[in-house]
Order: sequence, then structure tokens, then C-alpha cells
Amino acid sequence: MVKLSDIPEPKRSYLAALECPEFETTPWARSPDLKDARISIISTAGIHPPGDPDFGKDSADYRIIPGGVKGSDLVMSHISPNFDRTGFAQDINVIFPIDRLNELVEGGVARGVGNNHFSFMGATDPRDMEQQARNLAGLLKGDSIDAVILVPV
Amino acid sequence: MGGLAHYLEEEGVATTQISLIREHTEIIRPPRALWVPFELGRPLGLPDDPALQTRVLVAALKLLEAEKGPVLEDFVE
Repeated sequence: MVKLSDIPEPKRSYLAALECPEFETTPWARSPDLKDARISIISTAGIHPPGDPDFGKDSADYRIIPGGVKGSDLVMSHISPNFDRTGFAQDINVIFPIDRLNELVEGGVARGVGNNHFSFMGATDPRDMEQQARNLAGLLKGDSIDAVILVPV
Repeated sequence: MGGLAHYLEEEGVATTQISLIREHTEIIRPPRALWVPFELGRPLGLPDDPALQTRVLVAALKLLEAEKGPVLEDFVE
């Protein structure tokens, strides 16, 4: 897959028709250099510990993924049928690079990993997630997070 | 995904992200994004290929060191 035009129908038309939010400006928060940065992951794959409530249609809230979790212990309740699930089933790092991030910190490439990571349900209109995202920013700052990596699915 | 970046950055949290659909990212214009040529459901590339996953992750995280944005780079092997 290279561009939207390379995606087979009917998925291509569905994705092309998705309304994307538009913003007049792009905000810019400063991050320290990577070697000095403490990082958390935010996924929109609808993954979470198995004891947490499943995501539903139009869920705008997030689930907390403890930093020490084993990726193989996570479940996915994302509702979309439009993406491959075999890679995730084989290796969680293909959607949620927790082991890779921990390795970067162990190797000194990044300074630290957050106490928690987070997941939203990516099929939800992002505009509906605004308040939850702003709430989440407070949690991240409380954990001294310098930057997050957002990973779609 | 890019919408979340806007909200978090407005609250003072720096973000970088992986983009799977370049056309969507071009519209949303998040601060920092790395477009990857992988199929939906595999933003880090291939399962059980930690070397590739690490290259993708580092490329996305290195965008945090950009001086200004928005930045939309392509992941090139």
C-alpha cells in the first residue's frame, strides 16, 4: 500500500469519504531532544487490559495501559473491519511498540517511558475526543511526560 | 489521530505520530508526522521484525527534534 489510490475498493471509497477535521493553525509544543525525553504511547487501536470495558461505537474516552503490561495480555475491541488484525495477533509491537520503546530507553536513545500508556477507539470522530484528550494532557504532565507518540491502526 | 495531536499540543504536550493515510494527514496538519507505506493495521511494519519496528519508531520520535512544523516526512527504507 502506498497511497489511498492503491487501496482496493470498496475500502478506498470509504476511507476517501471520511471527513477529516481541519484546523486553521498547527500548535507547536516544544520537546527536549529524544535522548532527554520521557515518552508515552497513545494508540487509537482500541486496545486495553482485558478487565477494562470494551470500546463501543463512537466511544470517545480512553483506556489506561499500565507501563509494565505485557503486550500479549492486551485485547482489542476496535469495531472497524478495515484493517489487518493478523499482525497484531502475532506481535503487539506492530501496533503498540511497547517493547521497542523500552529497548530505546535501555539503550539510552530516549530518557524514559511513562508510567502509563493510553488507547482510544480510532473509528470515533476525533472532534468528539477533544475534551478527553485535553483531560489526558493533564495526566501526561502529571507523569512528567515530555512527548507522546500517536500510533494509528 | 491528527486531531488528538492538535488538542494535546494546545495543552502543552509535544506529539509525534505515525501516518498511515497520507492524504488524511495532509488535511489535518498535525505538528509532526511520519508517513509509512504499510497496510492498515500494521503501522510499525511487520510483526516479529523488531529491527524494522525500531527504525520506524526512531524515525517518528526523531521528528520531536524538528525546529518548526508542521512536519510530514515519508519513511524511507
